[in-house]
Amino acid sequence: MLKLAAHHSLLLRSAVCLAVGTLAVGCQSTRGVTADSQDRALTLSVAELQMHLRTDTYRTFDNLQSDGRDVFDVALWRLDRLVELRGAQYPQWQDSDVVIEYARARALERLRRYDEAVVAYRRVSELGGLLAKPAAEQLEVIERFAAQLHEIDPTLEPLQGDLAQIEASTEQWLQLAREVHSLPHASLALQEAEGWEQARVDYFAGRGEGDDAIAACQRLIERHRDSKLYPRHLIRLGDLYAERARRGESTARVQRAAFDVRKYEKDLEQALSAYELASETRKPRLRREAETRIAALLAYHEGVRSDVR
Amino acid sequence: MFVEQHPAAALGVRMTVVAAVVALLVLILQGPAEASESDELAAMLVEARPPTDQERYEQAKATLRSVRNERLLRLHEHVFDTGWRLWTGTSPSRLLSSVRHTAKELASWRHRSPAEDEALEWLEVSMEVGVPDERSFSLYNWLRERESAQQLEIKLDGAESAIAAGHPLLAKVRLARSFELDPDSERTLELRAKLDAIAPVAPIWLADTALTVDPWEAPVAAALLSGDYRTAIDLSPDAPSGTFARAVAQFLGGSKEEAFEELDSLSDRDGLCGELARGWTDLEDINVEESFDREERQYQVRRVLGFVGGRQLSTRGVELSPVGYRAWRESITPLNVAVAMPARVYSGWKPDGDALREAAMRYVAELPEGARSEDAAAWVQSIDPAERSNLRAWSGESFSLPAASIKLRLSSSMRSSYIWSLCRAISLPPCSLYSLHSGTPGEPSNY
Repeated sequence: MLKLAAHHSLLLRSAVCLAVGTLAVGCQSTRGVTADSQDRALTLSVAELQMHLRTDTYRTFDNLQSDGRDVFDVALWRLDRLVELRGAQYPQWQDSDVVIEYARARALERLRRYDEAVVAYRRVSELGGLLAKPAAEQLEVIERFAAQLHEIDPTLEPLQGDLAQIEASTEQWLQLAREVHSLPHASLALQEAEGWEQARVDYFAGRGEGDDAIAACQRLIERHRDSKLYPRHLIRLGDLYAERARRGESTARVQRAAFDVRKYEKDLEQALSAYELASETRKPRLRREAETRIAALLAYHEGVRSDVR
Repeated sequence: MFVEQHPAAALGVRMTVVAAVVALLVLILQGPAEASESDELAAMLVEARPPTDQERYEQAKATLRSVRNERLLRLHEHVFDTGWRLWTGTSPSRLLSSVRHTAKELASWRHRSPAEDEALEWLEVSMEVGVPDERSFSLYNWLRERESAQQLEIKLDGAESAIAAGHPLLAKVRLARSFELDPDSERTLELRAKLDAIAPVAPIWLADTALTVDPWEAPVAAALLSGDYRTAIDLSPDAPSGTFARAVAQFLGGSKEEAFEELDSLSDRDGLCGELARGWTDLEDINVEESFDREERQYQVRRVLGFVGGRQLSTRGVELSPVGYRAWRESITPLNVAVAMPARVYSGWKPDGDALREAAMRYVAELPEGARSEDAAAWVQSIDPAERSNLRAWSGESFSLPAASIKLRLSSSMRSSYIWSLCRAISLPPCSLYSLHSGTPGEPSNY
């Protein structure tokens, strides 16, 4: 009896071990990766990345897939996976590892991860070989981006930060964009400059300085007319006007001052006008956002009217 | 002593006396009556008390009963109507419509009604502040369960539509609420599994791709990355991945037609290579020829639909959805067919041609010698650039917002009432407000 129980226990333990082992092997193995497949991971990754590198990320949303993921993020993920699977250690790299690293650097620079891109380009240029020359050329440009990034105080919070530093960063990125205007990297510099211009708007808006915020937003729109975010900037401008209209109305109530209806209506009209311009974009999501703002503002206005009837 | 009176005069005197006595009595009694009415009102006010649990229960039951009776009456009407139509041998379509109404009424018999919300509001107070009796408690629980079940259905339907519309975040929130409402709901679990399946996961890649690197790959990839497309074309083998790389090199090197031929040859393949080739072939800015053909076809279809039903049908008419069906139903009306449609045909109605214009412009730019470049150029010229009104905002390099075309619809009378009300609210004479504007006091300015 005892012997039978021991036998059963041994069988059970073996079965458990077998199951765990199978599970572990299953989890470790790479799905679908085969040595004899005709589809070559490296070639397909690089060829597709090269197609995406034509994308102007400042002017279009083409770098975003339908599910919202950035194509360069996806490309980087693939290349990192390839590196991981190949397991070659720097600097004992073969030609294919160098190619992968160069492709990684291209993806990294498009993701505005300049420091990492600099490291990758440096490795490729140091190892020599197929891509040493183009890597050195790219390195020269991207090092300027990385240096520009380091000039900005990393602890700077745009809302509480120093306005002078925000202004300086904006101008420096614009200057860099002008300097590299013949290269595809100009888009990256413009994106950075645009980001700082947006921070400038947020700075004034966060302090409740509505007039300055509106002026800053107007400047943002004027300077970045070609940006893919142009409709979004228009929506922001509309928000600022709408906020000023609301503030005027509520201030009149608490301060028992005369309500400047003309100013209220002017702000409201400006807000609606900005939203309307934004709603003319061909991007359905932005269009819907603008249309929703128009509806919400009109509903607010109806509310103001009915409050005083 | 008394002069004998004429009988008629005596009657008149008597009547006057009787009337005077009655009036006196009324006057005497009226005071106490009024007093007693005000006493009653006062007593009611003093004794004002909230309804008891019993009264609340009765009220809730009465509310439910009245709706139930209404439903019964409606059902009776429909059944009678069906029977009558059957008896009189009416047309099948009318009979069918009547049967449909009856079936609809029967199917919705167990659905919640707004009266249940009202009944719940009556009972809820008892549950919160009183000690409810058994009947109130069980009725309340029954109603609450039905309410929760309805909310669960709404949340789950919402989650399902959010998943379908590609809003996983909203679906997640709705499913979390569904789970709170009923942790055992099977549909919640099913939808959660569905959501998990579509949630962003690591992109599938390297599936069915070779981990090893062939000797030709590194030089081809390096040539592609360094922009040496001639070398990439020369070095790419005829294997599927090599063909894809060659197509990319051809495309980026300017030989677009050859590139599409290569991609087309890969499109029928299974696996990643075929998938990539199909994906790139479908992209508008890549395959300008295909995109121009497609946009042209769609424009023509939209134009014909627009003749028939205007903008709505032109935009929605091709959709196989309730919205598309509604667009068709609303368009096929006698007035539209008799008046609006000929007017649109006569005036040469056109749909929004922005997409076609763009596709045509791309075609002309990419394939100036292409087989359809003349057609494309003609489309570019014939479709106005749709007055991109965001250009209205620009004069040179400066930006100024144009007037909003959505008018604020503040009529002058509304404005004046607005001003008067505000003045009243902030205790200012209206003239002080008008003094801010160009209008004269007492007369609303025309802003």
